[in-house]
Amino acid sequence: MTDTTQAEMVRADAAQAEQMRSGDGFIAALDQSGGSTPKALKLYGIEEDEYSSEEEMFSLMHQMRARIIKSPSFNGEKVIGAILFERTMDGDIDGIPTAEYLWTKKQVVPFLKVDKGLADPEDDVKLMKPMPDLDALCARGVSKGIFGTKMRSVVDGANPVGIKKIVDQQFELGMQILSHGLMPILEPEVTISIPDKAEAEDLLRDEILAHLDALPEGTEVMLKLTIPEKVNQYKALVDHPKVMKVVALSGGYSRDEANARLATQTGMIASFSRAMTQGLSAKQSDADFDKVLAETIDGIYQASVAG
Amino acid sequence: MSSETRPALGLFLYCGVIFMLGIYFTFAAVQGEYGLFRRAVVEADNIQLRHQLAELEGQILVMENRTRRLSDDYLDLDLLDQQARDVLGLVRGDEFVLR
Repeated sequence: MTDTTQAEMVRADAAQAEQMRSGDGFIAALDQSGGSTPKALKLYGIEEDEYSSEEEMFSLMHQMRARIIKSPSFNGEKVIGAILFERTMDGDIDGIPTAEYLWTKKQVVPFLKVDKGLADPEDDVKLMKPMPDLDALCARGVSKGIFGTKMRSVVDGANPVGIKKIVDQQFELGMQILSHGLMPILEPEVTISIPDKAEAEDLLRDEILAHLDALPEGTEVMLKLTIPEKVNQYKALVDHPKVMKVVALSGGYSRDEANARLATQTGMIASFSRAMTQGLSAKQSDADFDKVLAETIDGIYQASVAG
Repeated sequence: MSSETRPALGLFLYCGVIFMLGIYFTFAAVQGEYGLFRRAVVEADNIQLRHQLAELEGQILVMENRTRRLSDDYLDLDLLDQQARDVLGLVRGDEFVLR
């Protein structure tokens, strides 16, 4: 890698970090993994009898994704980041690797989802399955222009033992990801339907604070947390010097409830892992498609900046 | 049987019947179908069934949450990926699973 490219990458990283730190907007999720693509295509108006092979299915999926990314309303002003699945990172748009296209053409910071599903429940939590190929995946991500990663595990109860395990794993893998120069988004999701959610969120906040204090100086991570019960529950994390940004996941709240709750959490922006296919269809004209997508993006954006 | 012995016998019988009734009702009050022991059993069942109800309601909430997040107008990609891996056994071509 020549010095100029290295310098360019450093400059891009700095600009991306600045956008994440101060950007107003939300982080979108762009993709499907293999097993769930038929569902998303059906939502997009493509029935299962309209494609005959898996390759064709993924190609149609990629066309839909490219159409969303290339739409005028999909840009860094409102969509400050996008979380890609591995298969999308490997794809191209107009001959440019997706992550590079997102940043250079659209000023959207690309992240890569790196977890490989959840282990069986234990101590009221579901840890992530082991990721033996994480180093190789991170190296590939760096070469493709990825800025950061995201990995999700789930809290199903206010169990101190389980919550400590989940935060330990998130930070341990986070350090591994940081060693590659990538920005990890740590996502210990709290299930919204548990009766002791508020208590679990207190335990989670305190455990994360303890781990943040133990991080080396100058290190930064990002956090993706379920919208909490109490007002400004995670303000201490939002203000922590080792946290670049705290983003909120709705975890199943309706859009209105999620927006109302998010408005009570100063400094938290939205990261909707919802498919953005709502109201979009393959049969729509480009004008209609862009109009619906613009409305969707604007709705989520307003919620993000309301806090 | 002179007249004095008859009233003493009557009193004895009266007291005897009252005493027997007392024992019966005491026994019934403790051991009977609606007695104390039965009440304790019913209350224990009540507590257990309440726990069971709370647990089932919790499961309903979790299923409602998942159904909602996998519905047509709210497709949560993370949960979709999790379910595709857990239920469908999805594994990418370049992945290997440690069990």
